[in-house]
Amino acid sequence: MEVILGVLVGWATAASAIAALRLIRPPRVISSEQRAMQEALHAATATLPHLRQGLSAESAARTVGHLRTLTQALAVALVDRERVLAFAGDGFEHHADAEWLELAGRATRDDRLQVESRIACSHPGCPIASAVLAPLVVRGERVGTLLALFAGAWRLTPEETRTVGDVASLVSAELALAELEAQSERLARAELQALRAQISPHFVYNALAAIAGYIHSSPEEARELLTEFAEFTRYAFRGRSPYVTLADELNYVEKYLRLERARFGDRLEVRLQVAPEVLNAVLPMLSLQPLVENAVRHGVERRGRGRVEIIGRDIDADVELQVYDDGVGMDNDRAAEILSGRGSGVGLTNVQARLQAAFGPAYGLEIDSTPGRGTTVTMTLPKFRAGVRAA
Amino acid sequence: MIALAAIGAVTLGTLGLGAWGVRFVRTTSDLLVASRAVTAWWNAAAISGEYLSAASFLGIAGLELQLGASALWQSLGFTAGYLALLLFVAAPLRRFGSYTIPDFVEARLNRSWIRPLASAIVILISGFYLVPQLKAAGLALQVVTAAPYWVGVAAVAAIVTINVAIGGMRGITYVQAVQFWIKVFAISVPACVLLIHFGGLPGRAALFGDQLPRAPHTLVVRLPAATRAQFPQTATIEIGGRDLTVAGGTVRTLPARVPIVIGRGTVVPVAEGTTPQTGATWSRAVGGTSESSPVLVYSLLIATFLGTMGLPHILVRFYTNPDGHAARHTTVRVLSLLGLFYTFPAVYGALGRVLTPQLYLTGQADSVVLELPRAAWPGTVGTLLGALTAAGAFAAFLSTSSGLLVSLAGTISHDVWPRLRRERQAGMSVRRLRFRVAAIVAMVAPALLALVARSIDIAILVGWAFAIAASTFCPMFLLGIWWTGLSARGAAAGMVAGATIATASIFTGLTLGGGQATIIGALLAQPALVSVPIAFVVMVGVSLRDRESVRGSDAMLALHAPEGLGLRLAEDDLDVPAEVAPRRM
Repeated sequence: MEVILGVLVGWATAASAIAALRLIRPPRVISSEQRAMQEALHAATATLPHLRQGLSAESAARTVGHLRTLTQALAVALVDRERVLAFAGDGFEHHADAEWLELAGRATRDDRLQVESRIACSHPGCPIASAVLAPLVVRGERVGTLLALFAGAWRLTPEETRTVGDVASLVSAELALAELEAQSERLARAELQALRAQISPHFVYNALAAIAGYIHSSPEEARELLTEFAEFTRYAFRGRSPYVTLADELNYVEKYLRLERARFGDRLEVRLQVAPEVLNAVLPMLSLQPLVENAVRHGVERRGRGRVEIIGRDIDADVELQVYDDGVGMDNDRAAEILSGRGSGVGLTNVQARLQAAFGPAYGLEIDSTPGRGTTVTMTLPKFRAGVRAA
Repeated sequence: MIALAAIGAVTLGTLGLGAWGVRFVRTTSDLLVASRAVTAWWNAAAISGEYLSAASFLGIAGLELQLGASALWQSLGFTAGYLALLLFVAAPLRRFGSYTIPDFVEARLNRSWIRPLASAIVILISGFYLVPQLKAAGLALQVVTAAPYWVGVAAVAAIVTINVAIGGMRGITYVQAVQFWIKVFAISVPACVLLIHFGGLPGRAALFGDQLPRAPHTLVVRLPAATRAQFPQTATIEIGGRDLTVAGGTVRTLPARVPIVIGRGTVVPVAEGTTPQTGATWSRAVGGTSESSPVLVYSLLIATFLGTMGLPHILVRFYTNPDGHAARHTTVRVLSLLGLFYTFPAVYGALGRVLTPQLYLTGQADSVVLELPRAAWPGTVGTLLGALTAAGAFAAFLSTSSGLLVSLAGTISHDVWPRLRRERQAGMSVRRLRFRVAAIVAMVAPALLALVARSIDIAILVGWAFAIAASTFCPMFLLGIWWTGLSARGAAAGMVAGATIATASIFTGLTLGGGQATIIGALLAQPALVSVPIAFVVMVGVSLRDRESVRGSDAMLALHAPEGLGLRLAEDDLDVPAEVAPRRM
């Protein structure tokens, strides 16, 4: 009891001492320039998360107020090619959307600012006299216009114009980033499509040939295998989500292995050891099956017999999947080539790319192989990653 | 000696089970059998196994002995917490797919800056919860082998750390499920045997009537330290061979390490701080003494009822459920399994009051489950039963503290460490090494605190962990799952407010010393009644004011949309045996 009390009192004393020191120290003086700089920086960063989602009415509405702070204009509007997305500035609601569009339409050049200094508004008391039209350009293509409206009888100062131009560049850059992100996602989907297109021919041929062999000797077996084959293709070409649970993927691997068994019979030995805790982990679809297919192709097919092991371990917040074969193996240079995408095999490179697109560079594949001693491919993934969801 | 052997067997069994737990399955079709073997019952037993800690195994009976039937509210709350979890959290959380609480907080609120806050609270709760486990371990080893208190603390801390650091928690579902049944066996068999031996509850007057606990036979007590004892009635006791008659209502200091003989039928003196109670007040559920005042009881109920859903080591167990539906099924089974277990601690408290009243004098009420069998039934049977409860208690420390340490080490190695080093991308081997180092580091502080917190009841220490969980993660889960308007800033403000108020009250209460006579005293001892509503109000208030609040519609869909909107191919396939005719497609 006394010890607890002592610790508490000591802690409280230390905390009070620090607090007192902070109070005594003279407050730091922030100059007006620094303050202005801070405000501008704050407004600029505040636009980031919204514009990262692309240019839409919603993101425009959330950023346009900050853009007004940045440009110091009376009013600011964001316009895309067809409509006014958002508008900020009090007292100018009497300007119809059509007027804005008409104004934006006057900006004919994509690569430079345009200043409209004679704007005559019929509305009484409307102070707007001039406007700066700044195009928003992403990858050489114009996606919209930033309109900044200023008051006053005098011409705009060059500083004001330049600020609007810089703000427009900022918006353009952020939109370009958003575009890039969307593209990498499309790329991941395209890679899945590519994998679907290329996994099967080799295997389809072998599987069908094996099934054909059973039709006379045991028609029942042949029918079952054909059913398996049908389900196998159904899974491979389903299209809703690029992610599945490990349980689903393993189920698919099992179908695949059953078809391979039809060919190899007892010469293909398969061992599985998967912790039940990891079965609900979510991973890119068709990312385990190519590893198993690889193991069968390189480990078993060439020698006509062999062993494949699939091991799933529960490691804290991560999942570790290993596919081992006792086949011919390869040297480390070739393994590195495959993972970096320079090798000839498409399967593993594709899986590696999709894993890292989903989970980042800290996760993915590792190949450990010795020529003649077999190959182990290790895949690591997190148990949860926001946005990665099965079905 | 037998007890030590039983403890050793349980410990080695736990370590060995982890290694043996996942064994090779030879054929592919066995995989499906193996994956489906984790049924709702297995999962439920695993969750219960991880959940039943020293507080449940030793603490509740000890508190019941000391305070009376009002202590049983705690076991009620420990169980009812799963009702709250079942109703509001289990299924949506499983659908969401998150593994740890920081995972959920970050993904639901869509802000990365809130993750360190959630991690800090996870560390706080796990740390608070780990202290009583170690304290109980020290106590148990002291009772069983007469070793000094610190030996048990150090031994269990070391065993658990080594086990977690070398990765002995593989196959955790099976290990924890087996642990659960070990605990049920270890607590139910001695209780039943003793009840049969005594033909029901003996000494009913001291339990329900107007009697104070009296020595059932001549008791010889040696106090570990000089103790101020209160004599509720005039009694004659023999100290070191000299008779001493003390008038009722007076307080005397009794010497340490001298045999004190209390004759059969003499009313046993109680250590100062414990209220002597007649059977009638002892068996009152509410309001018998100041320690069972309605405020305290309700505060404790709120803490346990709402705190369970915020325990970091419990929520990760739900990840093993395949979907929200299974999560609900599991939770219902957890309720029944815990209900089964919590029937028995009450028996020990009641029997202990009649058969081992000397614990009132020594002040070591927490050891009643361990001491009762030997004291009540001297001889081989009592020794064997005592060994059984000691082994069960060790199973309780090991499983709960392993789960807690995994949570702690995981949070430190995943969230704290990369932030300190300003790097997030580290390979698998680096992450694994960090986890091991973190496991060792994380055990140091709780072990030291356990050495300090020797005099505080286990059940009260655990109550604090629950109070903090109820004031932080519970509002975050309830609002985050059921209200679209919760903003990150609101959640952060509410969690900080709840954690600060709960922790501050607990430490203030500690500093002022355990006077719970007033309402303020009761709230300082168990602050949930105040801190939980404040956390809710702050969360809602700040979220409403927060104009930047992001409506988490995607997250809401993930939480509440039933599975099967997507294609659940694998599930259909699992249900169809291979022999059936060709599939219609």
